[in-house]
Amino acid sequence: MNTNRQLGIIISVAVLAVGLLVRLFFLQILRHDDYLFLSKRQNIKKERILAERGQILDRNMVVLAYTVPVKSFYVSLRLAHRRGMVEKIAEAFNNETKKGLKYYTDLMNAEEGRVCIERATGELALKLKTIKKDGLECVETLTRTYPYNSLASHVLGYAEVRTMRGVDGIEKELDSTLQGIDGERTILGDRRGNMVTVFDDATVAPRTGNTVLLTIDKNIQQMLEEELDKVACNYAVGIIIDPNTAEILALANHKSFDPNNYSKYSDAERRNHAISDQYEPGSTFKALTLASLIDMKLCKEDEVVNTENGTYKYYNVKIKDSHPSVSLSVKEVFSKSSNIGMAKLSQRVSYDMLYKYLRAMGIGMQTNINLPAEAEGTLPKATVWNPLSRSSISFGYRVAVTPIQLITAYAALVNGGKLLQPHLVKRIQTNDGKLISDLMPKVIRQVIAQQTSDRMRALFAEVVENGTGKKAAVKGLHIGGKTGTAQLFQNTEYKAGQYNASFIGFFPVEAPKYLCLVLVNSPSNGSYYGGDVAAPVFQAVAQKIAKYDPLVISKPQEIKSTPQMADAEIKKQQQAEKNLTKTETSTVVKTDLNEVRSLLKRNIMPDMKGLTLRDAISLLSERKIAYTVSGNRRVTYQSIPAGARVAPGMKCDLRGEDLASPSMGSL
Amino acid sequence: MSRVNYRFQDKFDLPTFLIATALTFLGLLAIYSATRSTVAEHSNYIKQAISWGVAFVIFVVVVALPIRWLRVVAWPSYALTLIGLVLVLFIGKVTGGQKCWIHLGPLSVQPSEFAKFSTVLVLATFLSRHQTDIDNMKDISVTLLLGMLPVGLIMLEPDLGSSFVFFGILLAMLYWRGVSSFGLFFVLSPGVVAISALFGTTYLIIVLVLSAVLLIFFRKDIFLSGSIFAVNLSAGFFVDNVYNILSPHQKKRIATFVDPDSDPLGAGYNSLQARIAIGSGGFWGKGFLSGNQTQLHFIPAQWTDFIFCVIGEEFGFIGSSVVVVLYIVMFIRILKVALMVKDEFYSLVIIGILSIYVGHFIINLGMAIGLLPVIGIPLPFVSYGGTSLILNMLMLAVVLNIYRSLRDFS
Repeated sequence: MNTNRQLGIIISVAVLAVGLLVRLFFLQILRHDDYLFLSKRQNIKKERILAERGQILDRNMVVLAYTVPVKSFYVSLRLAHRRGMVEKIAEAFNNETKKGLKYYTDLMNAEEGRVCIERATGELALKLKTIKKDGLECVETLTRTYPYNSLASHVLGYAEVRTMRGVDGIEKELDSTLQGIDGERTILGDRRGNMVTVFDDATVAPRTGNTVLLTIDKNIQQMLEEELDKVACNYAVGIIIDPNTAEILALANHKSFDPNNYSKYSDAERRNHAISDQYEPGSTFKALTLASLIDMKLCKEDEVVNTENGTYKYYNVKIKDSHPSVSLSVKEVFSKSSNIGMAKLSQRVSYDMLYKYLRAMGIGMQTNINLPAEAEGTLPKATVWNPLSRSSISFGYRVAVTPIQLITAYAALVNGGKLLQPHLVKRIQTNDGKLISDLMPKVIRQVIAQQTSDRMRALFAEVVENGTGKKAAVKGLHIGGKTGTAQLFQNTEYKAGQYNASFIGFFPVEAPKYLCLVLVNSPSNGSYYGGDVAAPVFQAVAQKIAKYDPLVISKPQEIKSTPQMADAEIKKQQQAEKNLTKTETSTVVKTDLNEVRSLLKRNIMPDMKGLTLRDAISLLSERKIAYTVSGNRRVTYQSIPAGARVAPGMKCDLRGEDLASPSMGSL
Repeated sequence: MSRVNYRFQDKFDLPTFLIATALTFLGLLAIYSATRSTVAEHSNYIKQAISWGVAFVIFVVVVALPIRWLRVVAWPSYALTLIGLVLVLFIGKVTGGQKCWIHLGPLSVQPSEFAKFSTVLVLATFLSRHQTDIDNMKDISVTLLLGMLPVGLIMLEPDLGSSFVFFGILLAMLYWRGVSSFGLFFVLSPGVVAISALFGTTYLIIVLVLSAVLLIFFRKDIFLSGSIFAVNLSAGFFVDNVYNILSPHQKKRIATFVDPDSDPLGAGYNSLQARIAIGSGGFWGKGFLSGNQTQLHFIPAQWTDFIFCVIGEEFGFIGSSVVVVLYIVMFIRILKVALMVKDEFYSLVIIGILSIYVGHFIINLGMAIGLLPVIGIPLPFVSYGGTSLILNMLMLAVVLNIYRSLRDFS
């Protein structure tokens, strides 16, 4: 063997060894950081954990909006088509949902792209999740649920399905408060992206959004909505506020929408007329003028005004009364709603002073209620007034208000003269019940004297007792109010036969607790007078409220004779409510006490239906959840829906079987 | 032979055996690490240990056998493996686009693995004949024919990695036998031309021109030079045809070899993931059972051909250097045995076996560390696989048998 060859081999081996070690040095030491980065990037992934959006509750802790996990089923169309899966997916889904094969195949019509064919919660979602097909994917997200569907929809607004951002109503106004902060977790994933481990120490838990307590009383809201829905009209608005605090107890529009399916409704149906629409108030505005005059001591209730037998020519314009009379006292001018009387009385006040009063009452300015898209209203500046415009304004023309503006001004007229900021939010707290802020009534200014307010209340009472508002009267309730009928002004002209009929009333007159505005736009059932169209709505609502809150009844012995209808209606409503809760809580009935308890420990409201009331009460009190009980034996209804998040301090209304007499609330 | 030598180290090369055993043990650890969270392969390390047990028995028997048997089995085993290689094309089982396996009852064997060893025996037999003239073109051609016959069959499976190993065997044995530089050129040039053809026409032409220049430089007669050039030319064109025979995934692998980062999610995926695994291991490694790349199965079937990535990732530069050094030491020790053996035949057998080890080692490591295309070939002693482990132990036994019988030839 020649030595050169041995040397050659030894050199080759040495070169080989050095070469390999150099390469390893290069990979593992010089470029270690790069490769470590690549390695981490492909197997350590950050995942967002969606934060739950906060709940919206009414003033009695009834849940009006909450968030539930939902499974969305997506189909990648190109893949599904290629594998011939479209028909099979449709079939499998139809087996569970019975929506029809065509429903699904239509959804999967396109050639490519990714479509959501179903969103489901609870048991259905679990069943659907077992369907495994090429191209079908299940994504778990959260969805906003409004358990009472259209109830208070214009107050709540709605949140967009995918992003869960508030689009309208309280959902929009308090979006950032409700939204919560998404968490993040770091996961170790394998080649196929399957999760292998979660790094607990690197996990940032999501923060559930704050809970918002509204001033709304769900029961009163329901009463108002039911009555508004009976009116035949273009649209109707109802607002009930506590005049002492300007807390809005109910706010409704007839033609409401279901925020669970907001996209199926038109903009007109989703429009909150109570906030966004301004209109010429007509006679309801006379109260503001009269209060200003009385406060300036420019008139007294008993002085007599010549009302010109129904026709009064003023600067070439004929002012007319619908019920002509020769002369009326100031009290009668108000209760019989005489335009001529008001026009004449208004001549006593300077433009500036009346303007100042009206302005102080908030006319022509936003109330800054916690709702988006509020209109400003229109009040011409005093500098452009003339005698005619002053008289028009005195009885509610050439001025435009929003319903919320007008009811706010009325609150000042009846509560002793304080203008308060109307508000919908009572309290904001964390999802586990820690107080963040309590929203106290905010007095903006004193607009009229206490005595003026007292006198106004008496004048309002006269309207209902002897004037245009007789149809608002309820036996046993001492009611005051004012009617209004105004021709619709549209596109530079007054529309013949189209009116805004309105009534604003309150009770009890001595110490007003409920102030209620009813506005009916274009009533289509005969009469268009506020006293004929709007006052009866008020009456029906007031009756129901009296039943719900008997403390407002002035003469208790008489309330027993109030129509039996109200009773029957409440029963009917409860039945409807039962059906509602039955359908919405499709989750499994949990009769296992331990399961119920563990759910409660996780601050989730269990389905208590079927439990004995005694068990339900003891479970709730374990978690320091307040409760009211009616009926006996087993739970048939719970006010906090199953699956909602609960916190100590919340109140749950439980009802049992054998309801002898319906008892709503916690009396 | 005046007295019997009883010294153990003269009868048995313990260090070489221990190195091979250490590599096998490291392999077991790596196989365990790579398969413990898989569904079907989690007991592979046990199977490998059992294979090692079988291999060890064979090893002991072969070390103890009288040395003469090697010459006896050379031709029959060559014939047998050729038959096996033909058979596998007909009754072989297709795995990953290749027909490599023959199933004999419970056993599965890869004839191509055995072919390497039997070719070494036959080449050693032929080259060590007295009448063989290493500078005679005819004898070189016969050598080439003997060496390339199995390659031709293996290329039909097709198994590119093994073909390269055969080329290495031929080269190493001819070189060891003392072939002239012209003879070496004669053997080497077709291969170089063939590989250059893979890179494209420009490279092919450059290499062909170069070979023509070298042929003129060697000043052999015109007929011989012409025919060598013709062989080179046809090798270049033959590659095109072979390239067409290759399965699509092998074509892609060659394409990624030419341009490594052309397809990071496709054919380049394994290569990139292997580099990530090794590179992210760093100096000390991520620790046994703690390599993300390995544990999360970023490299498919890592326990076979990509086993070195497990060591690189979990034991780092330290671990992989130790493996490289172990191999080099083993190679040098085997080379020393080859040098000590004065008998041409046995010396050539050892060099042949060494070239099999080195060929596998270079191709496998080159693939793992991104210097060579992804060619499926196991790392001797370390990769999972019974046939391969038993054969490697068998060949080691042959080396150690020759070592034991050293005196007889010195």
